[in-house]
Amino acid sequence: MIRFIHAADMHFDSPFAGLPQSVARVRKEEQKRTFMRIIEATREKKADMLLLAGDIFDSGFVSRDTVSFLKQCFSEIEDTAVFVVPGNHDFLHADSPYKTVDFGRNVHIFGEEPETYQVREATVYGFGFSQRYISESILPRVGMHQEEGPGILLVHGEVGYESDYHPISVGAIAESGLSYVALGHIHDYSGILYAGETAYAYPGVPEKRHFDEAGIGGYIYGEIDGERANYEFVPVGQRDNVTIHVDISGVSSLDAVEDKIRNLLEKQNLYKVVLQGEVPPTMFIDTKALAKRLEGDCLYIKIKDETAPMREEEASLLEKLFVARLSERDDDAAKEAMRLGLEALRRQKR
Amino acid sequence: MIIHKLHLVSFGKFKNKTVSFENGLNYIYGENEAGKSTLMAFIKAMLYGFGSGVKSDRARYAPWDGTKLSGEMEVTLSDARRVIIRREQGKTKAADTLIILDAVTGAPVSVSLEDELGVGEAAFLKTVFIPQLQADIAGGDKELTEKLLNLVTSGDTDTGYEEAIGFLTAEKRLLKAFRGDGGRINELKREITELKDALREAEEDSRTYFRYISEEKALSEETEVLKRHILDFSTKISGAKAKNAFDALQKGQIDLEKAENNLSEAEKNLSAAKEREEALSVFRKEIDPSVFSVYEEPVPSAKVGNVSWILPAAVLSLLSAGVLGVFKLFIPAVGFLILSAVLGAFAIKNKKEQKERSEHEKKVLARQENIKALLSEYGCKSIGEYTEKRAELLSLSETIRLLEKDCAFCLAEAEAKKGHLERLSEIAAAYEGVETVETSENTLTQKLQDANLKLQEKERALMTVRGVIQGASEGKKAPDLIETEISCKEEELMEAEGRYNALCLATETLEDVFRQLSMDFTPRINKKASEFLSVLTGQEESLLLDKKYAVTMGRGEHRPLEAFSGGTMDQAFLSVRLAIASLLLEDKNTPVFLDDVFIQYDEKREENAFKLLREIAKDKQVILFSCRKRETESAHIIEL
Repeated sequence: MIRFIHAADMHFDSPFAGLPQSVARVRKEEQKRTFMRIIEATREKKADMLLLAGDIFDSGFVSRDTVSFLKQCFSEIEDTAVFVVPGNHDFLHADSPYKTVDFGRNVHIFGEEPETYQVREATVYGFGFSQRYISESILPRVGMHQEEGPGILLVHGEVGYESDYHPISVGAIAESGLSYVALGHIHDYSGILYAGETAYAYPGVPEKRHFDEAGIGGYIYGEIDGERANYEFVPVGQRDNVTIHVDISGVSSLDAVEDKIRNLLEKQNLYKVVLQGEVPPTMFIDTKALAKRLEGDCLYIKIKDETAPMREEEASLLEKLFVARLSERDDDAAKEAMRLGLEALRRQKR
Repeated sequence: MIIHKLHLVSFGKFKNKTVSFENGLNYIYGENEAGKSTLMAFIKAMLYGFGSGVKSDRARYAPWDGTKLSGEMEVTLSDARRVIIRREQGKTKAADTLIILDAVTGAPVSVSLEDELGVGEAAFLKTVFIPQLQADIAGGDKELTEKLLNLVTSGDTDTGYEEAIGFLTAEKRLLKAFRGDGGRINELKREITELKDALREAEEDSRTYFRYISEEKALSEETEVLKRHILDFSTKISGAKAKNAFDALQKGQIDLEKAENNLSEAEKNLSAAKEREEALSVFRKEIDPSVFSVYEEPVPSAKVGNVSWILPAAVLSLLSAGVLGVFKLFIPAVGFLILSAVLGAFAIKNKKEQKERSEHEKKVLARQENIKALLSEYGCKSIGEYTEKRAELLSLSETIRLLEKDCAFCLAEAEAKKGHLERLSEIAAAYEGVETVETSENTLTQKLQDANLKLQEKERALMTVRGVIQGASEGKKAPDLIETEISCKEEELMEAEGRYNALCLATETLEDVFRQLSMDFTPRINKKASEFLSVLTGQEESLLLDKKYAVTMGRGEHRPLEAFSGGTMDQAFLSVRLAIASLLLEDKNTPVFLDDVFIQYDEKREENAFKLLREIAKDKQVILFSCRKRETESAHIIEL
């Protein structure tokens, strides 16, 4: 029986854009700890191989710490063959750590030409990006799997007919004769999908980085025993990046708004809170101050104010006309301009 | 709305006071302190509540007997429903109660009084609730202009358009300075540029770093190879040494054998010599040498030995003559003949001596016999033999001494060789099992030294590279962290730019709307106000709010309002107020309240004012308070 662990898109040394440096530092550390959990699982399951399907690094520039970290990780699973395909983010180039660094004897980094390895009864195929974009499928060059024992393809790319990130057609997968295609590129877990007899899946980012990478990430554990195969997704991520829309219409005070948000927060997660609804003209929300007050209730919170000022009977003609004029436009700038203009006009009322 | 009846249950000085109004113009008069302002305050309180705070009606009109503020007001709404508005003071503003009841059925009715009136409290106070204006505008021209302006634009004299624009502008300036490169946005841009430079540097560092890393990899591989070579050379050198040792051992063995051969040879010689000595030991006893003296007597026969050869010499000479004769060499033959003659003479002389000799010979023979006997004791046949053997014996001891010395030397030599061989075999034993190498040790040593030098060189280079790597990882910010910082700054910049754009948009829109309002509204106010003012002054008047909302008025030539008398200013202001009220509340029948507005009016203008109010009262209820009793037609007159 062949056992493997399939992970992808770690994006090490990602800047965690959008997070303040202090939080980004924490997340970078956690990103590595999550990967250690994957290494731990590889050891515990006595996996024959660890398949890393590209975008291990966020860019060509890799920190020394990350390199020594990975070397350490791989050395801890000496008996497991580690296969790496460079992806579109960490494609092969002269200064690439894939070329300059010796990751250890059990680590095989695929080049731009398809290569084949034998791991016990299984045959592993793979090839990596050597440029940022690949718009032609390389699958045909791999050829059909005809060996005895299961065939596993490790590849970075996008399932579909057209893509700048190496298109892989479902039809080609169906005709490949492979047991499993270990994919990387898409940041969410795809589920275990089938094309003909061949299973294929994206495990997604193990530790989600941004608000557009919501959910708890993980890896795929697979077992292939002759004709029988079993694949399961194992979550290992530590935190979720949650976006929530909160309607604060009718909430009478800033304290109440704060409480309303606080009740939605979970300690371990990161939040993007979008305030919506209509608020009285006397309620001016300082999103930064509000976020600061809620900082202790989660790892990180940022608040966006998309509320509209409540229609007000007492509004002056100027205010009414001002609001009416800006309401003709439906963009964020108009909304913010409305809030700012009304604040300016009503400052003395407060 | 039409107000029919006020019932002041408990309000200021009033207790259960009832006042009734009619539709149209109501004129309420009372002396000072009669409670005109209290009544106005009561109406406002019934419409908008008692308010809160020390300056509110709640405090100002707290009933003198200490009871709670309360009252009722009966009105007809614009939808013709007649209702009773009942308010009662609670402990706080929030606890105040308001009940609106149907005046006919007594059932509670749901009505928004603000909707009914068309204005909020603030706007109400500034439009239809007209106090004694003189006091309001006494502050001077600027205040009047500002207040008119605000009144027109915001319906509120406290919230200024200019102020709002000022606020927005100030906020904009925080983001982008009016001049120069100040402001948060520029600051952020500068910071981002700096960070990007730092990032490029860090990336270059990172690139260099990994180049060094690969150089380190290459160098350490090279040093490993060199170390292997050195090890190899060392092995080879030891092989060469082994060969040397084995060779030396072999040579040592040969040397030893040679030495041992020499020794046995010497020993053999010695024992032979010793045997010979033993054999000759009889010769140790010496024969008196005088025994042999016979041979030493001074006798001519000392040449006896020569006699025998004289004859052959003669024969030889004759033979020679014959030979010479054959060769017919006459002269040499003559010489030969002379020689033969000499020899003949010599032979004659010898004959004489022979006699003496035979005597002597006899003696000699005797002695010879004696000697023979002696010699036989030694087993010798002749004295010569004796002498020879005796000499041999005598020399043998020297020979033996020498041979003994030789033996000792050879023995020592053999011992030394043996010892040397032992040492060599010890050395050779150390190389046992070592494969011998043909290359010379010197060549190998030279190669080893070269390799060592090369290794040292590489190791120095490696140390330098490692030093660089070490140095590179100290105190340098990682590119990804700089990127994080950049992303934060960029997000802040985006927000700031968004805010700046929003502020610009807000300012532009506000200005635009304001302009539009001016264009739409001002001419209408001007027209209406001019109309009203013409009625008040009794002549054609033109009142203008200019673009900057400065009020000018005149007949033909416009002059600033301040150029006119207090009374005229009052009238101008009243005209504007009424114009705004009529325009703002065009579609509402909200009553108009005026408190002693005619104080500065002359009689004629006061009359005109009544004419105007009667005109207005055709559309809506007008309630005019005054401290002067006055008869006026078509007015409901109430005396307090």
